[in-house]
Amino acid sequence: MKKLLAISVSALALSAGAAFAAPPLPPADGSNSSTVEQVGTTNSATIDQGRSPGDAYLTNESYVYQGLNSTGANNNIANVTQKDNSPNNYKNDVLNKSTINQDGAWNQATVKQTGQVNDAGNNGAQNIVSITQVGNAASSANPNTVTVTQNSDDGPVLNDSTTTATVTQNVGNNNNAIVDQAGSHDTISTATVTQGGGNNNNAYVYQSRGVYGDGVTSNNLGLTQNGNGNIATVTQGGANTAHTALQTNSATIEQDVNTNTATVVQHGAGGINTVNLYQYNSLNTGTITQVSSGGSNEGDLYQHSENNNGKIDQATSVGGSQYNSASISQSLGNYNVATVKQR
Amino acid sequence: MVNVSQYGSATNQSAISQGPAGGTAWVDQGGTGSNLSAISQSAAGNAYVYQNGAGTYMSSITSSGGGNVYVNQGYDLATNNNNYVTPGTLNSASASTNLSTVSQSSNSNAYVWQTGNTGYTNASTITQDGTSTGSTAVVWQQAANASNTSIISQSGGANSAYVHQH
Repeated sequence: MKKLLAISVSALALSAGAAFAAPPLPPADGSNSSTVEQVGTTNSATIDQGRSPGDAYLTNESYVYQGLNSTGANNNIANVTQKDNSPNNYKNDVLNKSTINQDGAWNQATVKQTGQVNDAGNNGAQNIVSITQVGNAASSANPNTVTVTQNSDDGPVLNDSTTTATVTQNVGNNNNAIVDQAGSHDTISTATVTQGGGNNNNAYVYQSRGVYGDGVTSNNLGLTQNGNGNIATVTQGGANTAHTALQTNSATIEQDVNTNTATVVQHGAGGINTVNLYQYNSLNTGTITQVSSGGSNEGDLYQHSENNNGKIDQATSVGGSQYNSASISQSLGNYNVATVKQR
Repeated sequence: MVNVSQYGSATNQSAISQGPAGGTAWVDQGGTGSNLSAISQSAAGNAYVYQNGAGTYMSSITSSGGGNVYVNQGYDLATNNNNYVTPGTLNSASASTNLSTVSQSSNSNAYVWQTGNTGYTNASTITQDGTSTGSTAVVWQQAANASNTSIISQSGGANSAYVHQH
């Protein structure tokens, strides 16, 4: 009976504050919030968030913590889907925000965020993802996997959006990080990927071009890999240069220790493509390809120690003030190869 | 087995406590005021709470004996084929605030369905702790122009959580 009394008091307070108050006006509505905390091994969390019919505003927020402070937590799976599933005529932006923290090894985190689909209003989306996989210092394998897909909108209507993904894989080897950011219109995409403490990690980043954009589409990447045998594959922009929107791409990549490989491809329009690629120590391979329509390319590659291979290939339109700028610095050691091609 | 049905228009309160003998607990509330339900079970047995109407609904269930928990707030059973244990379609006419708390400490499952309408709130907290392994927590929340909040905490390993919010 004591428990019931406690509930009753709480309910009365609630009644006064919510049920009997006038229904709140926007933007208090259309709010989804989910928190999942799981301790131990072999847990799974699935979160599906979207808009109900009639929601004028929409905020999707989710937090998944698997393992908490125990680094023995393994084989956990987190799947998050956040979307604005309204077909049309909602004139308010959507905010999708997802945070995942996984301790231990053999974990999988997958997030898919989608903004308005074929919306007739002037809508945009703000997609935010932050994923941290701690790894297991006692394990030599640690194949944690992150897959992030962010599509700010889908359709030929004006939807200006921002997309941000932060992926951190702190400890261990054989980690995989896949980030795919896309937008049909003027989208500012930012990705930060850190694979901080092991070997044979793989990072794949694709940041697309707004096919229907009429303003500025900007792709930005910061990628850090520490260890040996890491692979970074980066594509920014798209081959479609039919429209006149400004497309700028920027990538800064750092790979430490030996036998790392980085491949960067940028397609821009009107603005500047920028790559800063740092590879420390030996037996590293760096390849930068930059293509711009009516814009410029700047590629800088720094390789230290021995047996490194660096290549920069740049192409831009003829005439105007656009330019190609390439720099390869192989400052220490022997048996390095540098190749630059500019058109 | 305990079965409670309350449809008064003011405040309805229900408290069920089942000890070592176990058994099933049913609570059915539909008043337009404040409706409160508290269930405590220390032995095997499922708990079912069905609350539907225009009002404030609060359910609190504590289970340590291994029974499953089903909380259905806001869904009209008539449009859901009298099915207590699966979510129905959005009940846009349900002007209600729905609050649910479930605490389980053994291998068992919890299912919470909540639906509301403009300006109201759905909130669910599920805790599955202690020796709980292989447990499942499912939260299904639908609300037009309202807010959905879900918190799930699981320990013991091999647990599953599923959250649907629209």
